[in-house]
Amino acid sequence: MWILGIDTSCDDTGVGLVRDGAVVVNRVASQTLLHQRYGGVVPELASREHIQLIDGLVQQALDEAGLKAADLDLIAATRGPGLIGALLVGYTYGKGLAFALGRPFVPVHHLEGHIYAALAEHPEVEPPFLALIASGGHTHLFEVPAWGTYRLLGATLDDAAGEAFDKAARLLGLGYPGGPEIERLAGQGDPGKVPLAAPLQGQEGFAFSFSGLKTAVARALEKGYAPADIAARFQQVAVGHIVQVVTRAARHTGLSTVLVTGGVAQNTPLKAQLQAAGLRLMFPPRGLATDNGAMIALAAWRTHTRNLHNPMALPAAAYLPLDAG
Amino acid sequence: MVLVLAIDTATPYLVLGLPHAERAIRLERRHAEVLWPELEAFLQQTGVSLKELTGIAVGRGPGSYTGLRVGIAAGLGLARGLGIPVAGVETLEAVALRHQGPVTVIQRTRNALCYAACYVVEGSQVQVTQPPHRARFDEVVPTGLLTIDEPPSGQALAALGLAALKARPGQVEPLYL
Repeated sequence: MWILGIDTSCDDTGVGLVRDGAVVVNRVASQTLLHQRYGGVVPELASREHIQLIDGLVQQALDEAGLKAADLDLIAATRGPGLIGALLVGYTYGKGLAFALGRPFVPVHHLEGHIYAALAEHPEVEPPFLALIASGGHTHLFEVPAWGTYRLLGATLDDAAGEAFDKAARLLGLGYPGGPEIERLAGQGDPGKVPLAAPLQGQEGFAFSFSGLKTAVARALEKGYAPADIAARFQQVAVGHIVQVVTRAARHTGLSTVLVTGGVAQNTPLKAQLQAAGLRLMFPPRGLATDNGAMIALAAWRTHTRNLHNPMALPAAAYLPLDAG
Repeated sequence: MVLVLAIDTATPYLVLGLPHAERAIRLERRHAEVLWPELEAFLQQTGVSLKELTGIAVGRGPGSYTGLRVGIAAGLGLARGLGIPVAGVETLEAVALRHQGPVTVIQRTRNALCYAACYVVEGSQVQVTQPPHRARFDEVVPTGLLTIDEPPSGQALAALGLAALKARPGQVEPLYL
């Protein structure tokens, strides 16, 4: 069974092809350079790029796999959450393709895509497990007791983890995306030199918070601390905060398998500290860590037997909780 | 035989067109969801099957950016799935083609603003005398017949599409005004 997956939820146009659960093609047209000079994603610009790129990317993906559109068995696209104008491009294109081919259309939750991306190279893993999604747009910790069932344990109260890295990087005069830039600069700094408090200390839940940390970076800069030291301390505290919440959730639920996905999952100290905490970790393969279409096709492969009533009538949604349905 | 299906979502209407038929429904929003059942009903009612189509025409606006991208994305997906070409046509031109002689076309947007353009229509030929532009509603000086907030003609979209498919196949870039 061939599944085409499309993701245009944010600033990357992603098209992937999955055959019987295995990724065959994964093409992502990154808009990072376009948005770089604004220090973040400009929604209207992202939508304009998507509508220009989507059809060519689908053609390239089909060519790469040696397929014709008529060979597709299923069309999947991200329904939400994300930027509504951006989502609508890939989602509506996917519906058009499905309509023309007379094939089923499968709306996919973006976060579900990220979860299944982490299992791309671990077909042996079965629920229950924990899933941490930490990216520029999301910071969510789910308990997954069974396939297709998601229980939200905690999410960020303010900024997403990746957003905090982006904003801190911007304050420090670094480029976008901020994660790799902070990690690089932090390697040259001493975290012990900057007093910067960890978020939500003394609280016992599974919530995350990053906006105070961003403010603290601005204050530390005003006080004249060296950018490298600030970057080192920021990374230490941000990563420590995530690790603390995840290990707490692991203790609370008795689960030790954790899927870690989203751009922030690429952070080296985060990986190392979660590993040191004795957790069994599943990471997506490199090309599937950030937004892409293949993960949407993977999610459709796992979930398409869920019988959705009239998926063509389901609207794209900027806000879409995963655990509600 | 040549048979072009047109889709336009640049205005508050969803407009579907074939050379011999049209369907225009005032929706405000929700174009993206209503499009599919309406398209199915339109094809059924006109006795046209998807396989008979030889090209897709999509309205390039001007209009709400997100709104017009819905129609274009739908058209691109349909064309890819059917293996037929797609081309963009100008929405206001297809409004003008509902009339004859000098026509000023206005589509109001928010805050007393509008999109405006002037044409001269003779038979099925249309000549642009003032291209689409953004203007204050009360500052547009109309020439000839004035039409406000009228949907494009589905038949005209399909006819314009036929020409555009020959002249500019694959060009579906929205008119961002």
